[in-house]
Amino acid sequence: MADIYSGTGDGKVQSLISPTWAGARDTTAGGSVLDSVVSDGNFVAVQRFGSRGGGNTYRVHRSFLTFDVSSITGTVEDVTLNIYGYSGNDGSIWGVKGLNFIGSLTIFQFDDIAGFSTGNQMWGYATQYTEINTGGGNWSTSGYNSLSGTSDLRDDVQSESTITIVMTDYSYDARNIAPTTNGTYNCGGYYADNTGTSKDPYLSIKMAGYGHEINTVAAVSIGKVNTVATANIGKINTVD
Amino acid sequence: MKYVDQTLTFESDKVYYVEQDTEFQVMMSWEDSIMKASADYICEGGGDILEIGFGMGISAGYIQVNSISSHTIVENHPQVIKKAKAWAEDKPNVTIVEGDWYEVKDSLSTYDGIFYDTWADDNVESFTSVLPDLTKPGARVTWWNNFTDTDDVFYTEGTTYQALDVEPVDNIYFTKDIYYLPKMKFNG
Repeated sequence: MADIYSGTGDGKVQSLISPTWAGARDTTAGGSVLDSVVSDGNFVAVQRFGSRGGGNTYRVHRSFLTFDVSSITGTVEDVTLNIYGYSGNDGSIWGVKGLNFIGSLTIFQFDDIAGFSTGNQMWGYATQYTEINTGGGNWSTSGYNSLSGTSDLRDDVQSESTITIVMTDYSYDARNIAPTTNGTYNCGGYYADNTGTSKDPYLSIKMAGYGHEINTVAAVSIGKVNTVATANIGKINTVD
Repeated sequence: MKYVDQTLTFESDKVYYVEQDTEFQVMMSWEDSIMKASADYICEGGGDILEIGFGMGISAGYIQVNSISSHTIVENHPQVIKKAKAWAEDKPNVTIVEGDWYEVKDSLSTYDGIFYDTWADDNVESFTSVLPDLTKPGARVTWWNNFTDTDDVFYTEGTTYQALDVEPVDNIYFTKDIYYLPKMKFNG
């Protein structure tokens, strides 16, 4: 098992507030970037505010996580994305494949999502990287949330040197459905800019071939066995 | 936080508040031509005028220029109420009604002209259904229209629209270059 932490280049792009849902969501450039942020209640979010004359205004927030997975060699069996939650779990969240960017996060990454074109749903078009978390009690605001990776994430971790995961709201943003009541629909989370790594986003990568029972260790290989955990001693059937 | 609990900042060209690091403009001076056209329309027949939402007082000023009998203003934001009261001190035909328009509607009269222009109004969907109780026959009614002549959320049969060329500065509520002024003459 290997843990790969998100790079400090991670961060968030949020749209301008717009008087239309499409104006906030279906734009090729966000309104601002938060790339040195420690944590954010709107790690992913869509917002609807009241406005003039029966109108409303909208804003969309998406987070971008980058991982250097060049050290991963061999066959990847399973990948899990872990995000330490922060205040805010009134929305839902999922991860999709982002287009890798070089250097700092800019407003132009807002729609850099593989398979997605503005105006369409992400669901069914974008390359899904993680399972969907429906928020509420399912999204911890004071501990790690684990999102199972898809086979696309597993394959890219195995074959690529860097990957970008874009975290978005699922219920509204991913499905291109404007919220019908005022509010902030969000899930909060920590970024890699948080001091230390105790709350940083990371990937848990399980390699194939590890964790299997050892049936036999040849005499010439006994010296190569460094440690056997107490719990695993019973799994060793034979030692020459 | 509800709008009425927000702390407003008043500048010469706008009224706004800041929430989550974002400036929410409630009203701006670029709307002047819209406010004048709205005021002039509802005052065409003179009489008793109801204005729901005082804002920067731009439309109120244009209403006062017209020949009218009375001018009732409903306002719910505490800071704007103070501004409206100060503005009305030397205007004997003005009455300021404090509170949310929907909550005070039963205390209101009937009017010859109505201009409805509110911000983040929880009862916005009740506006058209309440109108019959607030209008005299032939009353002229208009409202702030964020939309066009085909998707105005307050459209009522018989409403016509006057297209006005506008040049909005950066703001969060209106970004088009044409404003469609609704004109509804109530009960013919």
